[in-house]
Amino acid sequence: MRGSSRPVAGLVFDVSTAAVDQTAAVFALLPELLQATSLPPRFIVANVAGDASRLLGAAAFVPQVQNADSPGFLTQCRVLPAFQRLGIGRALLGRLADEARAWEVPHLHAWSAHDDTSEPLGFLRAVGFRPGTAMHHFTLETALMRSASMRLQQGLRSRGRVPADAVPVPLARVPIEPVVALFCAEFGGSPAQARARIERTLAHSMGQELSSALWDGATLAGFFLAGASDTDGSPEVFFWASDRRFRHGWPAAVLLDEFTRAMEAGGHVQARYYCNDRTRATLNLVRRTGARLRCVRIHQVLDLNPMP
Amino acid sequence: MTEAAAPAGPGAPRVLVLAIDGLDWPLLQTLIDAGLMPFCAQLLAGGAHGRMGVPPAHSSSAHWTTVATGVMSDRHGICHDLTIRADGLTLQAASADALRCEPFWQQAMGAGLVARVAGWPAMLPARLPLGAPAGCALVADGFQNPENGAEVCWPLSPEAVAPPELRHTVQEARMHPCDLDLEALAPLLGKPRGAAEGALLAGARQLMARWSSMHNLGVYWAKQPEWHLMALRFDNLPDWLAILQTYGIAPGDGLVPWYRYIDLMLGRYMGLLGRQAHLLLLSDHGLPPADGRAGSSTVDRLMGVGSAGGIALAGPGVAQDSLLDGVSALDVAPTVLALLGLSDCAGTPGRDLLVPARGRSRDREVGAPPTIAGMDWTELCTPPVCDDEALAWLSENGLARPDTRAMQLMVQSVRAESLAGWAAARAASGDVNGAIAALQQALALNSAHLGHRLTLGQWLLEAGRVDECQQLVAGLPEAAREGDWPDVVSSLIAFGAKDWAAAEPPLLRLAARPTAPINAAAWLGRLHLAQEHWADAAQWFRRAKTQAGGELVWEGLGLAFLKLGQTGEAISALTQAIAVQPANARLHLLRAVACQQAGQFDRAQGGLWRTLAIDPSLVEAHRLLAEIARAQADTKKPLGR
Repeated sequence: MRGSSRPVAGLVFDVSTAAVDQTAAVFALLPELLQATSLPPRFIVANVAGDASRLLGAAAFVPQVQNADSPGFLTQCRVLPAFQRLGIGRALLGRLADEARAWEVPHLHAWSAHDDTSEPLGFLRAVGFRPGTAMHHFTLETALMRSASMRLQQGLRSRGRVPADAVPVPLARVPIEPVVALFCAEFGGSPAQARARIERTLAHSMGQELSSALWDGATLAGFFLAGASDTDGSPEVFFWASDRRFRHGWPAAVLLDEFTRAMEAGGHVQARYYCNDRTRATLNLVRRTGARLRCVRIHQVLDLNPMP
Repeated sequence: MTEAAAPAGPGAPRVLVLAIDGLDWPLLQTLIDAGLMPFCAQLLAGGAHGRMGVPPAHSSSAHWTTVATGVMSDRHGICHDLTIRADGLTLQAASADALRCEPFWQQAMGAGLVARVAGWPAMLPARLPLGAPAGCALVADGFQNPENGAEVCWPLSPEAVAPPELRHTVQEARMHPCDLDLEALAPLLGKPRGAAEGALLAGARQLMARWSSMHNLGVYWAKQPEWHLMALRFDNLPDWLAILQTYGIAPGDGLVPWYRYIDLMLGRYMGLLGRQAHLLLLSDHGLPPADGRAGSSTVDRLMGVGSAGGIALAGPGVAQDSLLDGVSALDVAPTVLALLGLSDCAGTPGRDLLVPARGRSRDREVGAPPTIAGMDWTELCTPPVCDDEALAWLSENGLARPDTRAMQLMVQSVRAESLAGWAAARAASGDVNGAIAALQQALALNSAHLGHRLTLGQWLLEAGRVDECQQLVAGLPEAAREGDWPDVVSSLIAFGAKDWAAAEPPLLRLAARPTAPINAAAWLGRLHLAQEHWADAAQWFRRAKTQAGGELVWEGLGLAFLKLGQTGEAISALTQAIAVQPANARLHLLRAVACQQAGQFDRAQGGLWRTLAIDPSLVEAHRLLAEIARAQADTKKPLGR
């Protein structure tokens, strides 16, 4: 299915479905798709009119729902730097939005940096993306965190806020189904994605070492999923959740303390952690333990109704 | 009282096919006997039923596509749950584009009948055939899968539903796990499960949501008057079984509430359809083999061998409480088409199961030689296609070549398994050399697969290619040189070399061990068969069949009985073998010989015609036909054909 040619400032380009032999080229343009758990049935590409091999950009979505508040598909879109500001990205995204509407999803998602003045952010805003929640990225220093988390937990225990039998257990020993259920309840997304994420983390020794849960054999009060970062293998906190029935801070504090203990025992100096700005309690807890803010990334949301 | 609306026209046929993945027939029978599945009991008592052999395949998609098309993987083209896309680099769920022949519903639509199908594999993208009458519907497997969505938004692929106007109905029918109250699902656990309760409820919620989605759609369709064929597939029972196993719950314990739920669904459909429709309940396999049960050897487990499925069929013209013997999954499509009044099932190896019951001519059993082109295994090995010019252009613009090695490894793994699936189907058709070539290619892609290696070794021995088998053994991994494996290797090599004296002692040692990695009794049976020790062969094969099912045992047992002159037992054993390998001309020939010796000349003739339909070059079949004709002429009996 070919698109119509669009003349822009002397360059005429086509937007169409990628040909069968262009999949590798699409991955070159959108390398994030190589890590995706599922792929769309087709990719959208822009190329110089009449020359399918001279690709100018590509766009695709991952057909799994992200984000419970503004549910939709995560989008990847890239135009070669030399060909930006020519309307190619807008055309790609317009076509992608049409595809997504056929799936009846209400939003497309993308990410940008908080202090971003780059071309992509300007582009996202120009085509109608609006900023959503902000994701705070921290560096957790083990030495600082350990003493702070111990003080915090001891304080809670001395005030009787922590049940006496609340003892963290390795997450790997907890049945995965309740963990997936709590994961989905807290972070949205699909059970398959959640399960894959948990299993992938726990498949590595660092994940087994750093992940824990408050599980009494019947009820999961909370869990802490941490392990080797996908990017460089250093420790990273992926997810940290408490069941809504136990919201008095104690599960989060007990799990954090267990994490710092495991970090110290494993000789890990620091870890990365990120959470969105709506989880105020967690953000405050992390700040109180001396976490250092590295950056803030903004979730960008495109409402597919009305048209972008 | 039924809610059934009148069918499309007076006397118009109506057939409902309910396919349940992993429904264990022995457990079903047990629960029926215990009075726990009254609707199922009614179905079985009111119609025909029996075990259903499924030709070897390596995936659920391949099984069910075999059921739907009446041919095996090497002809229908679905060899794996995943299809390698045309780019050779990415994967997708078994695709309709990979399907090389028409499922029964497509044939029905082509004949102007209204067919509605949901949940079967290889339906994506869902496309109605040209000229399909109004009211036809296809909903691809996966529509009921909540895992790509969330409670607040559950997308539906635009390619999953045909015609597109049906999307709203499908959306309405779907039930998300979050729509189900966890506590209300507790009865599905059967009894309190202590610490495992939370995890079990979460799993039960997933399965119940999927089944409810399918059932909602099925009931909605069934209530409408204007349809002739409906086929629904309920999956995920094996997933529930896996959860039960995780928590150490016996299948017989944890599955009972679900079987009762199946019974209720069945009752609902029986009520909606009334007595003028045909209803087929199908299962492709049962519980995975426990130690000591059929299929429990290491090789069987490695090759995914499981227990047989089952079939129950009721409706007008079906003899009540009759037993179907030697049913193959290949027989389903011809039977469904015949029930719909579509008689042409030429080119498929299966048979219409109700032909004798409905008194039709036996001639219909004799199909023409296969007309559906087979798929060559090399088609599974298409290399990735890549626009190198585009990559070079992107490189000029500063982009690195993508690292697709992980994807290529995935594709390679799927390709190897697809080849093994193709090979298994080919071997079941009697083409051992073709199967060997494909499996060798699978091993070239995944040399560490012990199951494929051992199967290849057995096939090489069967084909008399002993030297190649020895080379294969030389390359066995270290794990195959410990424990029982030296006995396995030495016995099979000696067997291949026809050194019976050397082969027997290690096989006897293996036969004495309950957890031997091969079915040594079956090999001892073959060893005695080769030496024409018929009684010993029969004895070992009898023992072997309690350990592992399959053509190896049944064919050998049938041959031994035939040689011993026990023709009744020979016919019975060969019928079992044919259920597994219905396209194997040699088995039909052997059974015909047994029938002839038993004086069942009509049946022998039918079998010989069937043999010739599969392989017209078998001179022995022509000779026997002539012999029977002469014998019948001598006794002045009219010819059956």
